[in-house]
Amino acid sequence: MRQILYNAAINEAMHEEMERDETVYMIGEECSQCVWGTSAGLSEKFGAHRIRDSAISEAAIIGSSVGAALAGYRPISYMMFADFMMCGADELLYKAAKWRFAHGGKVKIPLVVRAPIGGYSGIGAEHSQCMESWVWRTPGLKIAIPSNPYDAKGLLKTAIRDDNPVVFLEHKNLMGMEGPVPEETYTVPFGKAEIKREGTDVTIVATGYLVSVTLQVANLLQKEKGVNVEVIDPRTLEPLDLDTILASVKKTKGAIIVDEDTMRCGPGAEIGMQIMENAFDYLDAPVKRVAAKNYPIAGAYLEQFVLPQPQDIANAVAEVTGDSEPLNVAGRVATKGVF
Amino acid sequence: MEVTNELLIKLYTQLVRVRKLDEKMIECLFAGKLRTFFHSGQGQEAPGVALCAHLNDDDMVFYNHRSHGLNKCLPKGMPAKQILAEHFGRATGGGNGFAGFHYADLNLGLPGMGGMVAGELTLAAGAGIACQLRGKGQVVVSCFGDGATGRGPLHEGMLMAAAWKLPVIWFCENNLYAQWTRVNVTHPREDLSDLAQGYGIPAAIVDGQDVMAVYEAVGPAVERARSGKGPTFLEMKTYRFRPHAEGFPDFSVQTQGGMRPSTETEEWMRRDPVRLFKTSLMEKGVLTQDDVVRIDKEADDEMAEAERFSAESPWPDPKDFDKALYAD
Ligand SMILES: Cc1ncc(C[n+]2csc(CCOP(=O)(O)OP(=O)(O)O)c2C)c(N)n1
Repeated sequence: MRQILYNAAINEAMHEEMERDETVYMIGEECSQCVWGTSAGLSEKFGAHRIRDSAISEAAIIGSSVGAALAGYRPISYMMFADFMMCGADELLYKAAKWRFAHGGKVKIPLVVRAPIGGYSGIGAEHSQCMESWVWRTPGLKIAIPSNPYDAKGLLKTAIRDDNPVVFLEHKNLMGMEGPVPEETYTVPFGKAEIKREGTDVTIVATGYLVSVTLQVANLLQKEKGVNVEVIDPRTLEPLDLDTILASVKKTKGAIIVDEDTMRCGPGAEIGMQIMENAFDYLDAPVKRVAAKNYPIAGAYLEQFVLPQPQDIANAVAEVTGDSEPLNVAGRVATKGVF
Repeated sequence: MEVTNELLIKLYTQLVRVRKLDEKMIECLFAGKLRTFFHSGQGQEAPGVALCAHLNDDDMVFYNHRSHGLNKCLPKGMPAKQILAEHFGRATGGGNGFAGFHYADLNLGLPGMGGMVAGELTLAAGAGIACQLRGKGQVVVSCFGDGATGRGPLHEGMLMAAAWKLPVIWFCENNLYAQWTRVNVTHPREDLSDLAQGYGIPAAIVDGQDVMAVYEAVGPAVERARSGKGPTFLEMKTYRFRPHAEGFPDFSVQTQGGMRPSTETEEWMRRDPVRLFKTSLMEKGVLTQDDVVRIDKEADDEMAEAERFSAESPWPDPKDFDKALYAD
């Protein structure tokens, strides 16, 4: 199969869906020249009416998209950095998320907020966040987090066709990741986790950029310690494929959740608790979380002490499997930023 | 304020320092020494330099992200080494190494900066409330680019400042572009100071390449604020000479899809604020060639020293996270 980049996969999904459905349009800052390289050819093909470069007006970008969705269009609301979503918090968390329910299910809001997430670039507290906990605690929003080019394309196409508001958290550090993407059109369904690596000793549920970091750690663990890790990527948090996670935990008897959002109230807290409620009797050790520490993401040099590191994953595996000597992966599995 | 030769030379010296530190940032970035990114402000030195010449230490400036605030922080009194050291990620930086590219020092009237464009504009109104309550004639300057006028906080802040006659100067550096989008793509009118009209805030349009024009415009605004008459809106017409961020292409969207036109860039670069002022002061005999060489050399030495200081400073200690997170 041909290999393409993550940002090219997003670009292809945009081309295909905008061609397929003329009610799809995109609005955001610099969306015609996307910083992350996902916009190639779009404004040339679809023009400034459908690829709309807006002012720095996140509230209006998201809010107008809710309005257009109510009026029969399918806007893609583009945030250059996921952090900026909160400048349109009322519009996203209240209007997009609540209006259908609050109006008795009478309206639909087909809307995608594309929001690049993630750190490891040293650019500080308000430019590096993964925002899934902000979004996930708000019923009414779906959340997709593609960890590779194949999923990026397939999940985005599904998101655009969905009749609900979807927050699409694409990771900045993955934009240059290459992976197999078929020529023929396909979609990736929501609510179906992917088992990225089969294993028997412990289950790791990982999201976004940290899926590939976790896989690298898992491969080293296999080679050097004979520890056989199962890695699961939920791909969407809402809906969440709990069945796949639980089946794996029941098999391996151990669970670790690896996520880049904060430890406090992050996906690890929610998924971990779901495992506790549904598979406690199967566990040989307490569920373990690897996540960002409960601090704002420090800038520059200090960032590494806040964001989860590959060594934290290896340590968590040792703890859950009862190994007193964690594998040393420092310097062998690198995290890479885009700046 | 009387315009003495001493003031003129001070303004020129500040322009040179700001330019040289900006150049040093870029040099260090490309040498892999900065632990973060950089948005150069070359071409936009004059607004910040002239503004700060009117301000006291206890006046407050909410600086904006362009050049990471160095055209305000440096003339307001933050040492170059603290600014550079923050970008090196060191404990001696103006954010103690926590911020990456922002700094704060309340003794210098620099309350800090965040990562959201326009995020500080309502904070400036609040600082205006504090200054009004304190009644000591302090002034607050809220600095922002043309892009920030797209966000609600400007309008919410201006409304509050206008209604309550807060001592806030809305200081807009209109360099025609928000990142890659020209202001005419997103705004119906070219002059952003028009926005102040609806709030009854007096406004002026200023040649932002001419440090004396800025100096003259800021004076009355500061007076107005100090004497309790309320806010003023000042719009600097200016231009950045370099890309939005270093290392990124300089494309800008006019009708969509186009680069920033080189003719436009060249035209503005002919009005380099540092060179314009140098020429004018030399023609007036305020500066000699020797002075120019000396001021350049002193700034070069200062920035070289800042780099040495930054490289040799200690890393911050993550053990200090808790101290930084909550006050006792
Ligand atoms: C709320 C928010 N949206 C978007 C950005 C990304 N961003 C950073 S600088 C910038 C352009 C700002 O333009 P302007 O206010 O005109 O200032 P200039 O860079 O021209 O000095 C943008 C869009 C941001 N930091 N915050």
